[in-house]
Amino acid sequence: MSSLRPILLVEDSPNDVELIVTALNEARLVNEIAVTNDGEQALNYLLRQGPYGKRSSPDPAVILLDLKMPKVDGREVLRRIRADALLKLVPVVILTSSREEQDLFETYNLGANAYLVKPVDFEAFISAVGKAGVFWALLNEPPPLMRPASDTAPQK
Amino acid sequence: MGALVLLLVGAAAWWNAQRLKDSHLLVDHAHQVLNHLEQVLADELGMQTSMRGFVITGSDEMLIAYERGRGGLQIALRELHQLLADNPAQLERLHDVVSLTQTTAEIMSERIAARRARGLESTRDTQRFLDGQQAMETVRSRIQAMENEERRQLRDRLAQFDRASATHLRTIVFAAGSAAGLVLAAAVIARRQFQLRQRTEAALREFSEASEGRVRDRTTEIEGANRVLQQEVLERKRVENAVRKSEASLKEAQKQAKIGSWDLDLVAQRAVWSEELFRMHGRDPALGAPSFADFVQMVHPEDRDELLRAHSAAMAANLSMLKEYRIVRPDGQIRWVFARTEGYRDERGVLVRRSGTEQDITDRVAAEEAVRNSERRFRALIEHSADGISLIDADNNILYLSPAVTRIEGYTASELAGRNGIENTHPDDVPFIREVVAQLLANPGQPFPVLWRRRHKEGHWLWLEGVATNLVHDSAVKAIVTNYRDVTERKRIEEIRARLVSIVESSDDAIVSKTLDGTITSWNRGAEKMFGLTAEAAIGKPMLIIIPPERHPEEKMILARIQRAERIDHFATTRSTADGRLIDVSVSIAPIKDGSGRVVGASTIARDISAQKAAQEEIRRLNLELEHRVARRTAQLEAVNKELEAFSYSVSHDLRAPLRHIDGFASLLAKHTASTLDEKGQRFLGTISRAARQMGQLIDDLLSFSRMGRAPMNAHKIDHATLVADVIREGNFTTNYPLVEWTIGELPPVHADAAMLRQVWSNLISNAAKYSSKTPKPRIEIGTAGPSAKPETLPAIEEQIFFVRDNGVGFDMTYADKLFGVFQRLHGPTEFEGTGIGLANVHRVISRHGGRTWAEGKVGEGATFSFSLPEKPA
Repeated sequence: MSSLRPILLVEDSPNDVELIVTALNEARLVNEIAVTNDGEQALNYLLRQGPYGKRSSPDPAVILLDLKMPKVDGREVLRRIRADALLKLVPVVILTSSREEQDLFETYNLGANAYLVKPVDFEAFISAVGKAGVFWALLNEPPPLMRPASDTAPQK
Repeated sequence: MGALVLLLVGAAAWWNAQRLKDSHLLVDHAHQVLNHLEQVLADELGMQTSMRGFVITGSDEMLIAYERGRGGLQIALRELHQLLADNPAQLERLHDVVSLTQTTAEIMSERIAARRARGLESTRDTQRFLDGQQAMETVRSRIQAMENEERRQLRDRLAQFDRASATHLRTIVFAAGSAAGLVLAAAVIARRQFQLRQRTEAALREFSEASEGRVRDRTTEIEGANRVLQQEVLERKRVENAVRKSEASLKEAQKQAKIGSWDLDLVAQRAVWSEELFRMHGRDPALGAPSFADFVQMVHPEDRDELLRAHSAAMAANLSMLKEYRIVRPDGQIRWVFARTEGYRDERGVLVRRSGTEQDITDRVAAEEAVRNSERRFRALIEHSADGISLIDADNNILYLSPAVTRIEGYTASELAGRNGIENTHPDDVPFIREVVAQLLANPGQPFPVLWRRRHKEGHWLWLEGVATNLVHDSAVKAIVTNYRDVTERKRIEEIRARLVSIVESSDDAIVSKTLDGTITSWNRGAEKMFGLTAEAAIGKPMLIIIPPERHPEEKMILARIQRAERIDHFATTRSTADGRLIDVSVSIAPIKDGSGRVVGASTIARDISAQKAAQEEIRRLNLELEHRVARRTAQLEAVNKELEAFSYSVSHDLRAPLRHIDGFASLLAKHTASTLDEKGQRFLGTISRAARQMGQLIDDLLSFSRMGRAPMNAHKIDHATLVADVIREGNFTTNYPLVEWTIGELPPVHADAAMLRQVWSNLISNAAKYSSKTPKPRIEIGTAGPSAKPETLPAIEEQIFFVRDNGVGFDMTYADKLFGVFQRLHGPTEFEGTGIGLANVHRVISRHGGRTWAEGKVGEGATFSFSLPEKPA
């Protein structure tokens, strides 16, 4: 594979970002880990707009999406992804602190592919996030890309 | 010559002597004949007298002389026959007498037989009596003739002899003259002759005198007998008259008593019937008495065999037969008779005669039948009477109870017979009953009404009402007669009626009835108060007087509906009072029907709802206010709930994140400084991580607890056994606690939310496993318990009880009520891990299902945690 698809991490907590990145690194994943700190950034990244207007990397192999975020929350991001013709097939794994039933229902309803609770226990956290990363980035066969990796120019 | 003379004299003397001897024999012979003749007459008379005695008295003893006389008579006649054998003339007379005695004997025996056969009736046959009398007279005259003849013959012979004697004397005198020598001899002879003659004469005289005397005596006797006979004849006539009279009266008596008599001579096969008997049988007397066989045919065929049987039995046993049976008269009429039959036997015991009577008892039988019918009829009246009829004596002892009593009192008449009437009387009524009895005894024949209570066999009280009459003085009754009926139902209805009347009267509602044309017929106190009109003023007036003019059409509508037998319920309207006020009323009107279901009027119940209306308005206002308040409160609650949800959402997200970071970075720090940080520093980092994890667990549990309270319940029928098995399997209990000996009893299905119930079992089982993990031989028992497992509160609904029992560390029952509280722990975290949420969750879930939770335990001996679930979901 000439260019690995990146893993998009959407997470507002820098602590969590650090722990997740640690976990993914521990899992020896070599994919680029794109980190966005809120929903707005994530959407910009995905839609290649704003600061990400010139992004040329392929769409991510998986989006690790936190739910509780300032400005645009995970649910809205998910809704927008699924509403987008080019993005709608991208796997989205909800990565959040709780298993509130309401959240489970809503996100699956919006088309989440998986729902992972971040364990408090660090060992468990490393293990869970690492396994999820390996699965979605390496093992899972992603949907075909909807646009060529070179197509960097935004449409509008 | 002398010799010749002497010879002559001697011959004469010898001849004379012979003659004398002959005459002597002759006298003796006549004497015997006369004696026997007298004997004949005496016997004949004796027989006659004896026979008459029998005929009059009917006593067999009278016939002894008759029988004796008959024998004597035969002997005397035989003797006479011999004595008179050389006297043809007398013999001929004797034959005459013999045949005459035969005639009298025949007549006599005939009369005896007749008397036997027909009793005194036979004495009516005067012809035979006269025949007998005549024959007797003939016998008597014949015998007298024979006696006279005998005497005459004797006299003739003696005269002859006298003449001969004189001749001889003359011869002798001549001879004496001729021969002196012979004188002496002659004298001697003559003297001897003379002496002989004198002797003979004396004897003759003596005989003659005796004979005369006897004849005289005989004559006297005969005259006496004749007198007696004359008297007898008179007596006979008198008796005969008396008999005729008594016969006439007997006949009359028979006629009146309808008693007929009969006599059957079994020897002669001759039957005699009394006149009345002919009349009774409707038989022509000219036909004479019937034979026995014919008589039997006259008996009603149905009674014949029985009669013959009774008859033979009585005759065989020598007893009188008494029998009632029916006879059928030639005209077909059937009569009842009462018969009495006697049998008579002769000295050898042979039945020779039967006689008897038959009395016509048809009228009596009919009367008896009538009495029986009447008795039956009255008994039927009593026994089928719906009223109970009792007969008691002055002391209340029950003498008789009619069958209706069973229906009324439940007891059979025989169960109460002989008991005292007071026994079942209501205690409150006993004085009344005693008073009534006293009154009854004081006033015989006077009826008294009684109303009292008696206990039914089944225990309840009956009201009885009746009339009691003292008929103790009536020999046919000799009791106090009470006829009574069960009026319990009527009393009950009366009570209900009284109650209803009092309800109607005491009601504040106006209760009014009216006819179909709207005329008021009743007006209760409630109506008086409500409308300000007295009953007197209202009754008879039209209903319109309380209806405001603008509502008058309403009454028309009401009456029309009532006429169609419709009801009008709670019809809210207005009515006017006497002083013109308008009041709000709710009116219910129902048709009043007569016994045949025809509507004859209407009952109206009007309730003043002015106050009610005001109250309703108030209620409506309050309700509205309440609704507003509820809406406000609901909104508040919803807000709170939302906040709570937001809070718990926030907790689950925002509180966990820092903990994760603490643990995460502490771990990273530990790893990072693994080579540089000393052991103490490493331990500190470990403690930080553990504390963070502990906090995370607490938050998780708290959130789960909160969720348990808020999550909607989804109850289904659950296969309980499978659910528990799944919990054990999924919890890895057998792996994690390999030493535990599991006992899982039968778990019936329940109706519950599966996820919640799973949580309950999981918590309880993990508790049991945890707290028994330090026991050498841990045991966990899961099962159901009977409803008495928790005795202190009896559940109002059926419930099933489940438990989990372990033999672990147990707990102090002092803290039993704390076990199910949130974060309540009886053990420190170093002893057993845990947040104290598990049992609180169990309690919350079971409570939400309408069940209960409780625990029993003992320190060091284990614990039993139980919960109950209602059999049917609440």
